[in-house]
Amino acid sequence: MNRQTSLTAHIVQFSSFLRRHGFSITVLEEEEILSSLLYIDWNKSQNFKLLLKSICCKNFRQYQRFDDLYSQYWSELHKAVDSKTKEKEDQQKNKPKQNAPSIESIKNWLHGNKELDETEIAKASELATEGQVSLSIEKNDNHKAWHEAIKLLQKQIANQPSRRYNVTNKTGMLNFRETLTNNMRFGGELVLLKFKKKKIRKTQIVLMCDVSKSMDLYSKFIIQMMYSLQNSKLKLNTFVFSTKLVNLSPILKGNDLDKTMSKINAQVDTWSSGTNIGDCFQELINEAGRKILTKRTFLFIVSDGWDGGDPKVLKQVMTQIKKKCNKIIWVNPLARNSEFVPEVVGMKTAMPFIDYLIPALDVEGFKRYLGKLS
Amino acid sequence: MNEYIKEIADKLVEFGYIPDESICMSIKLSQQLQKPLLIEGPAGVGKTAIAKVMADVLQSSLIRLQCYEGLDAYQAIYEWNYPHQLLHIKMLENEGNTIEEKEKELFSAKFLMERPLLKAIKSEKKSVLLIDEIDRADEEFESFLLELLSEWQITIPEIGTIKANSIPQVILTGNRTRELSEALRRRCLYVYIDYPSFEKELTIVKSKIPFINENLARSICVFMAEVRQMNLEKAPGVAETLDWAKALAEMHYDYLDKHIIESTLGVVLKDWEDMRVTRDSLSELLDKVNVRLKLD
Repeated sequence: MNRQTSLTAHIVQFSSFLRRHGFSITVLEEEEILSSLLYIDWNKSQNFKLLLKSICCKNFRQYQRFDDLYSQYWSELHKAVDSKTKEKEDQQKNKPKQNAPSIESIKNWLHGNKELDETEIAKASELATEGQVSLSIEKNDNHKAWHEAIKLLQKQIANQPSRRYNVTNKTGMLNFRETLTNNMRFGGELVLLKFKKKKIRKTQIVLMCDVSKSMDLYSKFIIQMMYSLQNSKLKLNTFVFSTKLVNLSPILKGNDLDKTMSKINAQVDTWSSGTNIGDCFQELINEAGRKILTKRTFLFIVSDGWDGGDPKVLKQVMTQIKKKCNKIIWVNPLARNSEFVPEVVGMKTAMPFIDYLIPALDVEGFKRYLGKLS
Repeated sequence: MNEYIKEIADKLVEFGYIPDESICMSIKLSQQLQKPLLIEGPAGVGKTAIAKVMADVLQSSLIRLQCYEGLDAYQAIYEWNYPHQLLHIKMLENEGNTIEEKEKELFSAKFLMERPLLKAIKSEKKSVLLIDEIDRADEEFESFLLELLSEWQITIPEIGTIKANSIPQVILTGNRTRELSEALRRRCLYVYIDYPSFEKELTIVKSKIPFINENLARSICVFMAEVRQMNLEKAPGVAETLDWAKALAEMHYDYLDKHIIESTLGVVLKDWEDMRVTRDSLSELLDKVNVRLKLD
């Protein structure tokens, strides 16, 4: 950040600082800020800050973050450095960041790293022999299977007919209002017919994936699931959780898998850590509950249910979620065993609130049970 | 405080609204930049009240559009008076007008029923247009608003484009039940009203219910602040505080105790589960209230 000499330059620099933090500031907003300065006494810092806040913030999250970002900007400005030092810093910043090992391994899986595949097969066989799960390693080319799974999801839950109607020219129920309006020009004679059909209302889907240590074995399934579903036409929000909750929806959107993976790498630092399901779900309710947890929401939780948190908190949170959502669907890879009994604390606590338990650890298994959802 | 902003604050106070600086600044900028003001916040914190007070301050009429699921352009902008048009067609049957003449006459202002949005832009005097609970309307409806909110005009296919005679002061409110579109947000100035601080809520209570006992007012405000800290399904807003304070003041209470709270809790909380949780922890809550009152 450079020390600017004019107010205009400062505003432009501050706008670009906000843009880097996710604010959608355009030239229009910058122009509005400058023209608004005429109406306030901007020498008073509080007035100046309020003006910027009124114009730059466009939603609640930005409104909440603005004060911190404003202070951060000015404190960074105080530490403004000369251009040479800055260049050095930039060079250092631009050095490629080393990926965390766990992410690297997931990346390799997706790109077909045989060595790691073998390791996974070995792990899987080990577990299979212990009778915990029966695992088969999937091929990387699962696009078709995921495409079919998405189609099933759309058919079963995502596209629900609304109570409201859309006007259409195709045959359907006769729309008297539109027919009368359109035939006014013919003196009320019915020449043109207008029809109506029920609107399709997209159901909100929330995907919560457990990325704690105990789920390491299913990382490939989780990553593929998140990436495929998020890039479909479903109205979907994706979160990962372990000891904290991270929203991956904006990151997962995009065609370049490599870029997506590096972004995930930079964003999530809790892969293979412990699990605190209750706290993470509480965070979901606090952060985005109002927007995405509604009576039209289908909540998919992909987890084995191992939880290090307080079961009381989890029970309380699950009660809240149950009230808010339409259906809770728990995808548990461990439940494939026919003698599965929810013995782990998290699963045991959550069981009474779950509408469907899907015992799947691959896309085929997932698909098989999707057909039974309603 | 800047004198312009202070002027707005004084006027709002005069008409019974206790604002904070961010609200005054947003109102000021919204007037100067002629941009709509989008107000979000929990229910009952005074979002709609701002529009009502603004209408009083500007001495103009308040035009209100209450949004709901399924609201469409016909109910919000305009509608043709079909029965009237049909009768008119019958009357025109024996006259020798051409089809074009008949059509022109049928789709004239005479048969146009103005709905709130059209009424607001056709008003000669600046009006306050309140689009209440915009997040309850369908996403498609937001698109109808875009032309109005940026160009201050409405296009009616049969007539043409109607430009605003005076640009209304537009206030949109929402409870964040769903995310509004980026396009709509971009056209508005944004302000979020949260639950008030203890001091602000006390000032509101005392200004709205002047006959209330000071001790009771303080107890109520501290109690409400504590209740909002609890993880409730629907936290009470300022509206509930005022209802409760008024009810207790009318009954000549000058203190709060467990029995009074239990018997009047229905005024404050509107969810069965919330009431149960609050009742269970009432003694603890009252202890906290007493400690805070002593500290203050």
